Amino acid sequence: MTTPALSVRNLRVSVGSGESEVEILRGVDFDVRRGEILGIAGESGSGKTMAMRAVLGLLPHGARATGSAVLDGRDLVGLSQSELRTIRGRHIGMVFQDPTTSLHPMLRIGRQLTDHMRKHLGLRRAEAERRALDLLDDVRLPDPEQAMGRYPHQFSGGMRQRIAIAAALACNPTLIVADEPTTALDVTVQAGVLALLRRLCDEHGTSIVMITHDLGVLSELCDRVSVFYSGSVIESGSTRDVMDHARHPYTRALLDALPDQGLDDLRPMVPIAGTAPSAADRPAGCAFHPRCRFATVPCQTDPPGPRATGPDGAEPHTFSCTVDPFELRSVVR
Amino acid sequence: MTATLDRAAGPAGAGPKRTATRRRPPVMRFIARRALSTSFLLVGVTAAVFAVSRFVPTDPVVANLGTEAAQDPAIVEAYREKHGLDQPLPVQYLTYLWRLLHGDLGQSIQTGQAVSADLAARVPATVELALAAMIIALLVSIPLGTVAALRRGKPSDKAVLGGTLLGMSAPSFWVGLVALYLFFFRLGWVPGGGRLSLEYVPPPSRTHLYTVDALISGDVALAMDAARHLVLPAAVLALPMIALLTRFVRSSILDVLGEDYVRNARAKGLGEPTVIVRYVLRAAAPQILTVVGLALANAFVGTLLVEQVFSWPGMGSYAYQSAIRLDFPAVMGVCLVITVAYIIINLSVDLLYGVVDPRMRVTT
Ligand SMILES: Nc1ncnc2c1ncn2[C@@H]1O[C@H](COP(=O)(O)OP(=O)(O)O)[C@@H](O)[C@H]1O
Ligand code: SF4
Ligand SMILES: [Mg+2]
Repeated sequence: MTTPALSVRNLRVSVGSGESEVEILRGVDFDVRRGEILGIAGESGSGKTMAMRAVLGLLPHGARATGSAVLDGRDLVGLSQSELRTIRGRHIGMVFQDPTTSLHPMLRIGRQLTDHMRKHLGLRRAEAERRALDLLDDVRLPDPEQAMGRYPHQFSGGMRQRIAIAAALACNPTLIVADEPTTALDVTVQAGVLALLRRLCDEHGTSIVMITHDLGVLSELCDRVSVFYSGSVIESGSTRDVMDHARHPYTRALLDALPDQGLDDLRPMVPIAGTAPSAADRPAGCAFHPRCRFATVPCQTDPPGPRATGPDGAEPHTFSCTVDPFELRSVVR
Repeated sequence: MTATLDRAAGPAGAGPKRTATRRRPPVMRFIARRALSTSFLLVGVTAAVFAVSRFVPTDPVVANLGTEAAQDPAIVEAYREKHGLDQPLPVQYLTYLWRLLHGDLGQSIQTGQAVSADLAARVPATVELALAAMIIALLVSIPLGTVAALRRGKPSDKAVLGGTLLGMSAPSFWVGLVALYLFFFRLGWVPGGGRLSLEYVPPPSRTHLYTVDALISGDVALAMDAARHLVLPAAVLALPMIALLTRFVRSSILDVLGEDYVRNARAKGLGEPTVIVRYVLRAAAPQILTVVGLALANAFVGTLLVEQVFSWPGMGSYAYQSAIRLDFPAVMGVCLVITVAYIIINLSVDLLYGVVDPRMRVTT
């Protein structure tokens, strides 16, 4: 098996110092393999965005990252900003949640598609524009020639997101990070944008990290899934294993909360009882224990480590819960 | 100052969101509507100035003839008749308006010349001064405000903020005197006053701005002399503009720095200078433009005292001298020019929004 496109190990992000230090990410591990779409799921505030910002070196002011994030054999954690600038936009493309705010309202589309191409690939203006036309064609934007001279407000939300995806794709990166790319779009155009990402992944062999809190998106699009809870990965595995044989009580609760187990239609994640703890007052032991139906006394003090499940040699499926999975199954069913 | 800042901040801050939903009228209708409101404004301003000029407690006859001549009823009568002061007030006003429509602003009591001729000779000097001040203000405040925003909360930012507060509250008249003393008397770096040294004659008129005209005619020495005369009064006039603009540039940039498209520009790996100039400043431009218009309009009023200090032969010193002599036709002429200047500046700013911000472009 080839090395993963991105390999994240023990990634920690904290803000503040001394007494007021808060650990937003508490040692996160995940791999993104070549040409696959990895889903990162979890409630709002669980640290999905922060994890990818740490990888890109775009943390908010005052936040620090430790651990490693190896992209194409190079650890990005600890690189200087000027080194990171040769990687961002070149080897990692980023697609933000809302294309209305992520595209500059006063710059022409042509400019926003070409400025990083010219910088990273050393293309001349005409060359970059020719490539931009191909990209717009590739993301199925009608009339690319005309689009180049237009401004973002002259396009619909779905078209804007296609443009943003084209920009992320411009330098033919190893990895594209899409942070909830359909959340801000009309339901009617969401499926089209997701299909586009799937096709780009298949045709160009680009790896994609798909951040979402939408289980429908996960099951439709992603090859594998990592579920985040309060700054940790609490379950990961192939989408099918995690969806059909969820081991962690949190994942189970998420799935049980869906009114219809048929996940073909796009359904938002229904919040489960209680609220997600903020990074500042995270409970001791298992962070999920105040909301967990299966919590036992040790859960309140001992943080569970990851353990593997499933038959040996198959796709690894891990979860972090101290309760025995077989026992758990008998309780639920 | 805070009031004007807030006024400027309001519409500009709300701008991007507001215009996304509201459709602008076509450009012809826009201009027609402007022309209509402008004529109302002009009638209002002339009426107001006219009323004020006629109700001041001082008698212009006494002010201009001197107390002795004012004792002689025949002289006074002749004077009043000559200047139309014997007519009823509404008639005087309508006569004034009628003449105004024909480009006749009346005769200056003080200079004995047509006010329009006096103004034609002096307004270009003021325009040159105000524009030079504007350019200096932009050259200083945009980098200064940007650096302050990027170093928000650090000592350099606090120093800039403190300095601008000082700059806003320092009276131009006093600053002008100090600057004149220092740079002319003490250091001899700049000439003492006027637009040109005695040995030079003004360049052939094209734009009526000496520096520009001298350059057009290819006379570099003349252009240098004009510039040396211009720089100190322009700098003094620019000082309050710099203070206002720097603060505004700083806050506009702080608004923009947190935007997604700036984070996106960084996520594309663009260098920091590119991000700041092409993305951040570009986005702040419409907001900055609003205050530039405001500052330029204020500069026209600011010339009143600054021109006096630097013997600048412009409209400001003309207005000052006319006012203390109760030269009403001249004062009214100046008021009209200032009103027209405000209107032109506002119209230019509105039209420039369309250039700077594609979302505000008026569609035909
Ligand atoms: N700029 C910031 N400074 C400090 N803490 C932050 C900042 N942004 C987000 N956080 C905290 O980091 C945690 C994870 O946030 P985030 O990664 O945005 O979550 P998600 O993307 O999963 O919704 C949250 O608890 C949030 O409060
Ligand atoms: S460790 Fe305990 S509290 Fe945490 S999920 Fe498992 S059973 Fe629930
Ligand atoms: Mg997020």
